[in-house]
Amino acid sequence: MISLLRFLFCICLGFCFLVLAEPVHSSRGSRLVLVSARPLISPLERIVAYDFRMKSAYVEAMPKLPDNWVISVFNFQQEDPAWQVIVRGKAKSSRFGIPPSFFENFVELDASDASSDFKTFDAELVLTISEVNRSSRKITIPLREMRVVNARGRSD
Amino acid sequence: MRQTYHREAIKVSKFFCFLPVTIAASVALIIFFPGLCFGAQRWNISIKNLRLNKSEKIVSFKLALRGAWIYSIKSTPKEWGLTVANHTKEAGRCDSSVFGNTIVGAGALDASYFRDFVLVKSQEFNSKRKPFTVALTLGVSNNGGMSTRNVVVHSAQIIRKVIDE
Repeated sequence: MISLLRFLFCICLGFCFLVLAEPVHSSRGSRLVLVSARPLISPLERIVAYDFRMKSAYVEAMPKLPDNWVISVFNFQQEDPAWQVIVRGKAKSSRFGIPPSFFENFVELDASDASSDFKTFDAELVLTISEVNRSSRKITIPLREMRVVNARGRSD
Repeated sequence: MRQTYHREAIKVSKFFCFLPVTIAASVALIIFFPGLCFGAQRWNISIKNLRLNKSEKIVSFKLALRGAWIYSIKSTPKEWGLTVANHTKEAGRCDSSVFGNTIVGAGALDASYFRDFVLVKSQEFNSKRKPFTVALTLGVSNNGGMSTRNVVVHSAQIIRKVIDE
């Protein structure tokens, strides 16, 4: 009986290790951007496009990209002097809209070009929100409504 | 009574002496055989043995995938434009691509950039070693940018490594 219990215990423990094993990802960028847009849209709505613009920083990495989307990263000085770098995303159709939670850690930044007090750093996120097969609306999230944290998770 | 208690205590201690062995075995299994974990789907893509002349740098690339989609771009180079297109067709097959090019010669990359440069997610768990196809073409320019040539990376040079479940 004890042998059987021991065997089952080992199997369960091994199973737990396999299921709970978390992948380790390196965070090479100096900063991450977290956006809290959750309260702004209703449960039926989804984000079907976005424009993320910033200056005095570059995109270091795109940690997550949604399926059935086209994402463009313009990681260089734009003609528009107000914004240096633009990330633009669009869903193939409104069926493939994403929830606001996607915008937690969606971009990793290198802000080494910004001044030491980050006064020159600025960012803006414009979300296009729609229900499936309904008209869409846009909301703009300025930097003050974003939470910027460094790669080690320390808030700035 | 005391003997019975003592016997039970020995049984319990014997039972738990297997704990370190089980933990070590599980950790070894995860480290050395991640593909055996449930639903192994995410893969790192790298290039090996890319031979370029000393004066040559990479100024553009196109990565095309079938049966997988691009989950993450590990490093977005400065002075580059990148477009990622993830498409899952109605029939269920993924066709995805990343196209990138630099806008200035100073942004050109060397081959080291292509080590684990993207993370892709295969469409479904498949016990085969290569459940999706990858094609990679590089635009290579010499230092002065006087000439550019396309290099089609041979499939044998493209490394796919399962990284987790």
